Amino acid sequence: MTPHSRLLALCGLLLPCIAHAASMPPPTIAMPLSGLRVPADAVPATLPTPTEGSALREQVTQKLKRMFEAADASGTGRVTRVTAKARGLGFVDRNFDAIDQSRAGSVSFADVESFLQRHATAARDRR
Amino acid sequence: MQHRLKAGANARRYCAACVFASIVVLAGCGGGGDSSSNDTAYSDPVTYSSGASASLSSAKELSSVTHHQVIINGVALNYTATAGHLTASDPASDAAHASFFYVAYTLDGQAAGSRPLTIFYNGGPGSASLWLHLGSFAPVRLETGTPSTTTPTPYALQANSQSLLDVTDMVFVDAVGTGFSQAIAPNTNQTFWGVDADAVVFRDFITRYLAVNHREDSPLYLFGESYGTTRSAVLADELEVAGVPVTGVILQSSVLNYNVNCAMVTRGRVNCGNLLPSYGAAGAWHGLADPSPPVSELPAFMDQMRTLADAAYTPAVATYLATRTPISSGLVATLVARTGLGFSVWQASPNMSPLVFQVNLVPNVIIGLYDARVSAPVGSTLAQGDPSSDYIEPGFSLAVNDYLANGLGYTTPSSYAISNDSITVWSFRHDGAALPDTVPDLAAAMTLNPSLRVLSLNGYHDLLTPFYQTEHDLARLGAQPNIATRFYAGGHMTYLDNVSLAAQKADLAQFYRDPAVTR
Repeated sequence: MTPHSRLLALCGLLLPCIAHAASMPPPTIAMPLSGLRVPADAVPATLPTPTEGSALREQVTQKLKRMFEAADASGTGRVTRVTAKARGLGFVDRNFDAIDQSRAGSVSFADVESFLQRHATAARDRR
Repeated sequence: MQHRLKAGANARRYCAACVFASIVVLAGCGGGGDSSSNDTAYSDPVTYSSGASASLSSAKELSSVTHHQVIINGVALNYTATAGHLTASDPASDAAHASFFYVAYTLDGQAAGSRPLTIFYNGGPGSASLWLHLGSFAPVRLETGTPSTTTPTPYALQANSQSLLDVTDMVFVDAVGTGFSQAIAPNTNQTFWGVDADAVVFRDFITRYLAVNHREDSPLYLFGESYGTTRSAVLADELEVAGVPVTGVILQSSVLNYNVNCAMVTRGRVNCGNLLPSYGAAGAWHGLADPSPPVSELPAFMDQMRTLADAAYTPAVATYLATRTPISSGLVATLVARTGLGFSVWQASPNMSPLVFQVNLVPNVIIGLYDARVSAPVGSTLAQGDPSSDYIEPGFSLAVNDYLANGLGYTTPSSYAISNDSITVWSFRHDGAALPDTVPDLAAAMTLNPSLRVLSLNGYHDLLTPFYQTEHDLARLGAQPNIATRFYAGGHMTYLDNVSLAAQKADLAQFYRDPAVTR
């Protein structure tokens, strides 16, 4: 038993363990919880209206497309399984065979969208 | 089971240690015989800093490991607590980005992949996660007496019979620049003080934790509070894209879209209509609404207030904001009756900000934004800030070092940073907008993973992240059988209230166990 774990075992028997706690400086609170609100200079002149329905779905598509394109180093619009894995598109890597229905060895964002639509339908049908 | 030691200030730290140690003995710490002989304390020599420009030159992945027991639903559960650091690294280059301090609680004797694993974090941004850690579902919990603000400190650290340990393993992790979490050079803490950078580095911490502990097959849950819900939406999408499926997202007191939150952004810019039900709850609590239903009858009253907001108040405010047309005196009379806030106050501030509401509802009293049930007389110490958040700071602050050192065997020469001031420089930009709207992120995560389930937990008396705003935010996703919403008496931190804690535990246990979410 190391000296530290012996101390811990002794702590469990109600002997004062204040040595460790006393040597740690007190915690700091730089900003009280009550101060945690957005600074005025972070608030823009115009606040966007919340999207829903098809506008929200379009935002989601654009978002996923941006993430796909960030991984498309070659700029060809297609990624291979290896590229997907190396560039952070683990989702594409994990589902590659299901996305690459034509066995092209690489997939486009349209292939991913098509997979997502099939996936969503299957999940809905399982409920 | 607990005993309160009344002592002077110098003895308080000692007392807290003794209180914890005695609880630990009574709960049978090391009670599986001599499992405490496997305990390994860790005296971390590193000094961590929460400053914006701070960075570690390098980081080790070391931790203390201690063994304990807690009784939940009459069953004694042996568990292991691990307190220390793991490094979040770039997934492509493997460059070390940040050293995260975490405390993990794992049930002993389980197959690694079989149990759910839940990552907990508070928000701020700039808050450490000690509120969730020591106040909610860990195997130990501080008794604050919420909504009372006069519970003496040190708070008793009790064995938590409402802990979630029986349904999930838990990891409480502090954001970069809080707790003992710090950036690694060439990054500084401020590198990660932004909506996107913060979510990405959390993603990398999680993937590291999963890899080191062989938990890739465990159902993964995210439990974030307040800004932590903003983080969770972005983080869930980042994890799904990275190929790490998220089984569930638990949203405690949500602010999914900063652009529509009346309390978070500058007064007067945003329609406060969705706060009306919360105002009604506050008025009822203080006995000022006419009638003031008891908490047991609050749900029906809240339904009336939702309707009043949607049908009358919110549209009237929209008209007022656009044209300066005052709200009709008939509607004002209804608002007065339903909330107890005075006629002249409604007339003067038709778009009722929570900041105006909190100082005008009860004469000579300020009620809390975090929890409108909490109040403090004007001129008192608690009334200098928000009484419903500041009252818990001394007790939690006193408990942290004692618990880490004496309960978990972890020490460091550093100050535990309960909060930093990162919010003053935080980069809120997200998806081309100045303030984050993370509903599209949650939608994207649910698109990538149609099995992802969401549980939204809300306090009726929360004026900071009002529950009806959250309902509206989630409603943008359309009819979603995978999203459930629950409501409790209490404010932002519903779990501090013992009655609400038990109700939340029951709802959470069902969420973890049932394959289909019950709306």
